[in-house]
Amino acid sequence: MSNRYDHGRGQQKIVVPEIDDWRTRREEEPEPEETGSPWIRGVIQPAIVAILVGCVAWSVAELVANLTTATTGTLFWVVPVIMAAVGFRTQRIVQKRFLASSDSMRFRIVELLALFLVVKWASYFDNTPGEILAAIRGWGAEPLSFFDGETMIAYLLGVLGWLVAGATARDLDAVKDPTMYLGEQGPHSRLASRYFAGAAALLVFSALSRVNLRSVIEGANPRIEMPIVNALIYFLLGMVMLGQIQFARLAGIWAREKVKVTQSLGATWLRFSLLFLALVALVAFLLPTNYTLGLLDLVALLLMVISYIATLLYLLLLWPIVALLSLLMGRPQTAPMASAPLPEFTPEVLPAATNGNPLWAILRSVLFWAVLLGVMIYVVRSYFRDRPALLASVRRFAPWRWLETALDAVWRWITGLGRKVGEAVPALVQRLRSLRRSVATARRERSRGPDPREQVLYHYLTTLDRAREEGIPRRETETPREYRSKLDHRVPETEPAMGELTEAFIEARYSTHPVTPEDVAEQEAHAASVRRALEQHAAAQEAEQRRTGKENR
Amino acid sequence: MPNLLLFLLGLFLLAAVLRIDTYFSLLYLLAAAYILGRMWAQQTMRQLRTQRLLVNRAFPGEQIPVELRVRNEGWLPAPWVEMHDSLHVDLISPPFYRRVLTLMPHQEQRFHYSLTCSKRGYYQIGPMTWRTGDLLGINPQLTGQQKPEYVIVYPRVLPLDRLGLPTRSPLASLPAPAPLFEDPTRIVGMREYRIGDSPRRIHWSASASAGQLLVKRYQPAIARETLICLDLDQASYAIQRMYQASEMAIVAAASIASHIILHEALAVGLATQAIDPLQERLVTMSLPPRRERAHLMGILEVLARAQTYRQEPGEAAASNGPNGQGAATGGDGVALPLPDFLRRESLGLSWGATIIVVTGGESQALYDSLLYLRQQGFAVALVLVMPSAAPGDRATHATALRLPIYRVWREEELEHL
Repeated sequence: MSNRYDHGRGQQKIVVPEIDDWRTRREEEPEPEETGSPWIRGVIQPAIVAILVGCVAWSVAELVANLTTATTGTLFWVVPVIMAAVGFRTQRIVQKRFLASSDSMRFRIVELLALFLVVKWASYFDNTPGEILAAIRGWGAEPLSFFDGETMIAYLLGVLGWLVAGATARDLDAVKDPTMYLGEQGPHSRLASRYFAGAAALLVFSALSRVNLRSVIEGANPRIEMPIVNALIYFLLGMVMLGQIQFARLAGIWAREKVKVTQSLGATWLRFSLLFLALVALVAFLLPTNYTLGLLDLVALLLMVISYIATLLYLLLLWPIVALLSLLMGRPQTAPMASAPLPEFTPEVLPAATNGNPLWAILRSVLFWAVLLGVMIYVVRSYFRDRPALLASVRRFAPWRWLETALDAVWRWITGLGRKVGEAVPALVQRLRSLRRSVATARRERSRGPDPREQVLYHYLTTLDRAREEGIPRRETETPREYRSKLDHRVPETEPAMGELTEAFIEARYSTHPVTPEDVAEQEAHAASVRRALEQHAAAQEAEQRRTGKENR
Repeated sequence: MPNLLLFLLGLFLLAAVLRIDTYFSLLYLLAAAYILGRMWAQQTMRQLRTQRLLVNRAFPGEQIPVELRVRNEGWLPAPWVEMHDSLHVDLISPPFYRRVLTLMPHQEQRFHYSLTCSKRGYYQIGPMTWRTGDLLGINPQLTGQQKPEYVIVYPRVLPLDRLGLPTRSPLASLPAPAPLFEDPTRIVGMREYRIGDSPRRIHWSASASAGQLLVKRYQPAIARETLICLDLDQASYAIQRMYQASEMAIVAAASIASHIILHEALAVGLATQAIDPLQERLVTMSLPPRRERAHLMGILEVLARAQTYRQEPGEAAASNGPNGQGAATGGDGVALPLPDFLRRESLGLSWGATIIVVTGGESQALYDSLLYLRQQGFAVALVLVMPSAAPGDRATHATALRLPIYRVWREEELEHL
């Protein structure tokens, strides 16, 4: 194997050797440095693989035991465990001793036949010697009775475990040596695929042995709280193994490329993996796994809560307006909440059978679905982010584009609504405060009555209004005294009352001299006098016009 | 791990439909492993700090010790980090430095290696990249990168006698000291009287005090500055040993510049057309004459960077006429022919300055240009980096015109290049 380096970019390119026969290459090249100890390789690895196979076989045994009472199913998990351990070891032996495929094939066939005999012997494990002898005698009369159903099923499961373990052993060795899988799917991927396939089988078999399918179809299946121990063991052990596979893969690459590796990285890796898995398991087992409300029920509840809050807000907004109107109308303030009672919050979606606090049940359901949906969304999002090419191809798919556009629009609407509410609420509060201040001021003014100074101004200004109606308006440029002279010139009868009224106005408007109620009464009399003079003047004018009109006619 | 997403989706559906608590726990387990592993790797990437410490200038034959510092500034440990520092093959073999390490919170690790500077040049060190990922291998690995740095290895500087050059400067044959070059109002010192000195230069009072005849030394009135014009056109050098010859030309230019500044304390400049690895294109590198030591380092730096270029005949700017009318201009990426380049660079020099041309080939146009420069009041000298040959017509002609020509071609020195 040779390496070539691109100096311009500093990136390494591994040049694939042209040799096709890996056996030849293995003879020529030194073995890659062993990354695990013999104990791990010879004991721990086969034990883990056997346990993983056993976990899957256990679920099969449970299912069989549920389906028939003819067997306890013990043989269905014991045999696969033993055969998986043997198969793992066999692969190592074959790889070490036999290079010719015919020799290895012969070795495997002999081993499988021997294993069948062991399984047959094991099937009589709980029989008495007499029963065993009777069975042996029966083989002569009926040779096919040798191949009874339980033994054959157990053996087939065992062979499956034997094959899987052998393939796993091969891949575990190959994962350390990248040259062994050039041009084919990497052993790392094969191991992962095998692990997930086993997990899927385990989950399906375990579910089938626990769930009544009819109730599932009818949507009335009960919650299953009992932990499935073999599934938990399978996943935790499998994750430990995934960590070790990852380490073996990287260590193999580093060893072949002669990269200096920090001492005891293997131990550090294992320690961190276990700590990490402990943390992950803690998080997983702390999160809620059951829910009182289904997702659709929760959505209905959410809509109900939103509707309730909207009604509440409406009433709260209505209250100051009603209060203001009642003030203006002079009616006693009634309680608007009493006139429009709050809607009763009765979440019908909650099952009546809920024990304990219903609020706690709702919160737990909300947490459950939020975590679950959040996790799924995060995982899917990360998955597509890591694969931009896949994301681009998915985006070219029209329904996806529509969905994306719709979700984007909904998101924009929600964020826009939130922003508007955020802006509107402070403005509304400010407006309400201002309104409250205005109402309070008006109320104070009304209770105190008009000021004498203002009353003097009022009498003067109403007199001016009357004069304007008579065609003698005061221009903006005229001072009160100038206007008085003009009025005196036009209607001499307004004097001396207009003079008194003008001086009182000037004093009240432009000085700080006290204005007493007596002054007010005096000016009111002057104003009345001026208004009378103006009315008489107007009447005289009208009479004069009428007379002039008659003469003209 | 492409199976994980499908598996999680399937598990989610199975758990939601069948309502099995354990399945939800398993879903959380896998999802937490995925999410927390991803976040851990991202956090590691964010909090990893790397630093490369080195002296980025050296002379040939020296070694540059490099220290790499990798620090985890976060509170989470980094279980594995693979570092890869890309280096130049002329400095180290193999041309990289790789390590795999584990970093505890706030831990720093240091690594050392050395770069052997055997050839002049401008070398890129790095970029240093690092890679990390989650422990289970269910997330893609993340990579980070640090900007590259550059190391300058100066050209070799040899004593002029090893190059076969005269050790007096300027290299051109200047006439005997003439008043034209000195300012009698600026006395810089005294020396003993020698036969031939003008009586006007005798310092009578100092001679009376010392009891012997002393003459005044005047400050030169014009700058005795020198410009080294280096030709790096590959076409100017013999194709068989083009690399060695061009390198020798650079060594000659560096040695002359060093000699003039360090031994004669005179101003020297450099002008050349070369490919600059900094800009990755053909540029004109021109340093006006100065006499400081820092300026010498600047010249050596330019000479370290300069790389030869090959100009296709059609690309060259039009050559001048024999009398220098119509100065050619070199555009971006187009070099001027050496005669035109000399004339252009002479425009910025003081009258009486010396122009030393270092090239690998001679031509009639070059001689014409040198004669033209001499007629313009410059002292000129030609350093030819080529094997000795029988004097041809051109050289004879140049000798007849008293143009100083020096040949630099020592096999023992070439072997070291």
